[in-house]
Amino acid sequence: MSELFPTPPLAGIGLRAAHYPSFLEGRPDVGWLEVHSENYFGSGGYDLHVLEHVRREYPLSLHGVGLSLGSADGLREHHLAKLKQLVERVDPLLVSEHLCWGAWGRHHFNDLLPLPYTEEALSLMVERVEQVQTALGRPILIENVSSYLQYRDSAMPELEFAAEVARRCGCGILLDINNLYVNGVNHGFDPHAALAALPARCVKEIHLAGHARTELCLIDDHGSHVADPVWSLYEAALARLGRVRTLIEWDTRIPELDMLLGEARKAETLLDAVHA
Amino acid sequence: MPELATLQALFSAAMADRAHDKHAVPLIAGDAELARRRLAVYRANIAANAVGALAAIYLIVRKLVGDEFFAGLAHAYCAAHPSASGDLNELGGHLADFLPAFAPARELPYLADVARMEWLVHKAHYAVDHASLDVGRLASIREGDYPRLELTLHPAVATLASAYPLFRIWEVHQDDYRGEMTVDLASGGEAIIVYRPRYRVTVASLSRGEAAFLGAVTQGDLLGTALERALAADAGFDLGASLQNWSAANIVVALDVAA
Repeated sequence: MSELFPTPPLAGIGLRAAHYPSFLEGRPDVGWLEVHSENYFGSGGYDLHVLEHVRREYPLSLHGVGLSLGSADGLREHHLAKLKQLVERVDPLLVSEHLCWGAWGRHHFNDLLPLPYTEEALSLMVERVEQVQTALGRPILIENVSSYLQYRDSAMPELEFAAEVARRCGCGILLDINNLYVNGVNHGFDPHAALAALPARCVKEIHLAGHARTELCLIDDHGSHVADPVWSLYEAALARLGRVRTLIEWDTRIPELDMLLGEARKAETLLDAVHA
Repeated sequence: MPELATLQALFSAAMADRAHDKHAVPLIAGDAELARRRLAVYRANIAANAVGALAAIYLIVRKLVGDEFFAGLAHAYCAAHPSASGDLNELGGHLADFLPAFAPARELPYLADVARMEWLVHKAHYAVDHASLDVGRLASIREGDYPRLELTLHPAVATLASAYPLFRIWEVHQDDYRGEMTVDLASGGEAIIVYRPRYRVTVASLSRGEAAFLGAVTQGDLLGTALERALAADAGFDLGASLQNWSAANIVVALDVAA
């Protein structure tokens, strides 16, 4: 039976411009692809051409980094309109954004800044995610971010906050295992224990990436192999959550495609080991 | 307990200027000195993201001035023109206008035009696609209608006149360029055209006649008037040859008889 109905591969990679030629000339063996939505906000040209090509070959996920959902001074409607246009153009399998803020007034920081995990921020995120889901006409996923500081006001752990947003507005969670690990080290909590806050059914995607160690804290720079303790945490997450679509992210010091595909195969092996 | 809006306003002020750290520190859990250092991590990340985005657009400016100078320029630019979009590809549109006011660049007066050219290249990369000129349709146009032809340029096309040899500067900085690297800045100015034959943006120099013709077309002049302007600038302007080149290069994408 398994030959007649092979399990579709659930491990994917982030598609970056350096690897476009490989995807135009052939069909690298990987389950699915994810791109940063903003890189395709143009009206035309090469990037969109490549995106439309790979969309015909693979399941595709649009992962936003610039919507700044958690800014208290309002939703960035212009940005949302561009995202909507792109979603309509490529009809992706998944659309995701981050549980963070990144703009104040007219000024954008182009970074994923942490929110205080308070009731007020929770209500705001629920309202914003609902606005986005209404605009796009589909549920989205929200991702936990890495952080280098915590606010005094935070009243709950990040994953509990994420689970509550998901519960209240029906969005999914994109669980970034590397971010969870980085935060555990930076803020001194046990990331394995933190997983308990997540109801299994709401996690629709997992991210894996490398991080860098500085004197002060771990930085999630997506510039190296997935670290061993992150693989361990991933195995623990799969044991709890089941087989979840998993992405290898590598955004800086981008390696040869084969190395990325190797990381994806490693994730696929761990996914295969999970009892359905 | 400050409201979210207050927290974000104070945090934002600290990101823009570390002199405001003292107001953000009380928001952060733990030791005050550690909080300052962690705010600095965010400030450094934000700056690095901006420098990286500008470096990806202004490749030639960066090669001309070196990494260190470029980072200083990028920091000064972002202080004057903070990012106004969640899409980093929109950062940097005012760099050419900012450069004359940037004191360390005063000895490099050509830099602003190089930046202007690179921004046009960046915009051309993302410009909307357009089908090539339908050459077959040309045969149906009556010769008497030629002066009233309206030319449509590809949305990626832009022209720029400069007092410096911009095409030469662009040419020697291309990855596949293998020739002599010297650029004689005193060799005189030239006009350039930025265009995208298919997906790869490229730059070419324009003769006086070509520049006058395309300048007229951009202003909305019909073929007859544009040709008069071109011939006035350059008696040797060859309309047929130019149109053939421009249609092959996807520069002119439509010719219609004006109503």
